[in-house]
Amino acid sequence: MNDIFSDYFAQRDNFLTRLDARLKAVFVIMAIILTLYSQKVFASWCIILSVPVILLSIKVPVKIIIHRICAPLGIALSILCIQTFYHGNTPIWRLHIAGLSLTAYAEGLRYGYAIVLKIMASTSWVLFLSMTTPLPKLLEAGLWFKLPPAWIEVCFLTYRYIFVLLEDAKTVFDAQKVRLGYTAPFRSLRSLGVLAGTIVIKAYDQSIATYEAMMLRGYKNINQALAPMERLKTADVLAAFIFGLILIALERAG
Amino acid sequence: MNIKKTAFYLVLSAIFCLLASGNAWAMHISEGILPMKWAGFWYLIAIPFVIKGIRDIKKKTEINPHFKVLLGLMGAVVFIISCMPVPVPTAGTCSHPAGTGISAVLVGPVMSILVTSIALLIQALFLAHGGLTTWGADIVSMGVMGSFAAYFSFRILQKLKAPLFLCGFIAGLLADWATYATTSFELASALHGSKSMLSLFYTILVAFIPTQLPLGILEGFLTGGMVVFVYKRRPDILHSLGVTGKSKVESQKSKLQTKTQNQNLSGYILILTFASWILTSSVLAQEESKWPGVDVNVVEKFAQEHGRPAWTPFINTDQGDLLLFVFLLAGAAGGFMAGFCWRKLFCEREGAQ
Repeated sequence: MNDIFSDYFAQRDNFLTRLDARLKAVFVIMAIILTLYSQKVFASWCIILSVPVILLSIKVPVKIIIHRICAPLGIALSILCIQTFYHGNTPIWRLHIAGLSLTAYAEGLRYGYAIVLKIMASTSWVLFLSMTTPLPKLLEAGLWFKLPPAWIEVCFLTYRYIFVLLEDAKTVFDAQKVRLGYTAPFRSLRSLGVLAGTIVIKAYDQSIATYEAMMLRGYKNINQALAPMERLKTADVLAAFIFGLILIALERAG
Repeated sequence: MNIKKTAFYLVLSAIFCLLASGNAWAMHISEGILPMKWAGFWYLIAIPFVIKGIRDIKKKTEINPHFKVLLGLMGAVVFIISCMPVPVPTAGTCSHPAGTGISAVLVGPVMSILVTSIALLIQALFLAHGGLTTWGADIVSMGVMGSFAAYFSFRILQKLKAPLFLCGFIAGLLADWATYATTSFELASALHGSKSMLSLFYTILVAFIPTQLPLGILEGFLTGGMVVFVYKRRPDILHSLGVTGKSKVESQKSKLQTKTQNQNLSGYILILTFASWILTSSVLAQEESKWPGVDVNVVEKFAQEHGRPAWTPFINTDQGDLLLFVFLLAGAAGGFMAGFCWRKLFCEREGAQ
């Protein structure tokens, strides 16, 4: 899971990970909004092609980029397919399946193609953010933007314990597997229930232990536990200028 | 809808299924699918629920001091379960459960929405699973609809004194199916264009069926199995979270009551089945003259055409009270057998328990 989880690459030290999280978050959100409003396919293609190049420059493996893009690409292609056969009046070709004729329309294909590009371009922006910014930094930025502290606190805890519980779940799953827990359909269903139950019990016990540990260490709230955000550096100001130019280009292209 | 149209949607759905196979992460609407106005609309619906959840944390923490930490861990549980690839043999693909059924049953629907919003955000950011603009729509489908469907079905069944496994099973099943129905609606409402929204909704819904129908059942087993496992191993957890809300002695008493009620329920079902059978058979008997059936219409007709008309049976049960007598004999034999085995069937097993 560690290598698939994009945060793993955001923990590395490079010129993009060193940039301020607030800046990157605002830039990506605005870029996604402009991409969705954009009517030109050229802008989307530029994003789709340039973001992987940027990620490759910070040594994110190609396999991981493809793996991350595959799921949205599958959805995008199915949307393209539905739109092609669903919308429009100008037939471009007919498909005959078992005495049934399906007509593909030019308008539907165009509309579907635009949606596919939007999906892939927006996903590329999210990939850029996730592979260059660790979640704790993003949550700190969220706190700076006055998001509710309670929500941020729960986010931190969730992020912290995903890997702990995942490790526990893997241990239980392996133990069940070697004890032939997944050999028959009904036995597999029972084992899955036991696995889910064990994770819940472990989560409950861990929550009590963590709460006690936090109290013993004098924890009161998230604001007290986190250091204040650093001021923007020269590199951040320069990056803000470049990001601004990209956003203007996107707006003009749209 | 005529047959051709239905067939058209089925073929479209099949293509959708083929393309979306592999790992079906279809529960989360991908980034960029929804136009901005629809994305904003779903945000507007989702945000009040999340705000209500944040406000409720304080109240819940006063009762249960480690509740906030528990929520964080529950978020991790939802994250793990909704990333758990489950093979779906009917579609030849992998899909994943929602996980909101479990969280809704354990921490309540509003808290479950909050937890889901966090799990969805982390998935969107770090697994490209969902999106930032579609976050609101995903919260509504998986968090709001999934959690409320699970919670209410669980509570209603609990009130009806259904077995705990059944309560959990239905909660998980409905959480999954409600999530997919809402996702289909969200996609259809945003993408239908100038055509009918309902037909696109059906297309997407049908497309989800090969994976989600069995997966919903799997999720039902997962949730039911989890609830029963926790109840057997650590009933104090369910008690402290207000899922069962009874002490051990009380729960044993209620278990006995549930058993009696279950017996009563099965009695009612038997009576109902018997009554409906009588009703149906009497209606069918009236209709028999109008609808003679395949034996008379086809078999008898062809047999007569080929010179083989039906002859009188050797034992004609239609004559006199012979049929009645045979029924009486069967009833008496059945009654004798049941009486003979009564102790073995019921009394000895109860004693052994």
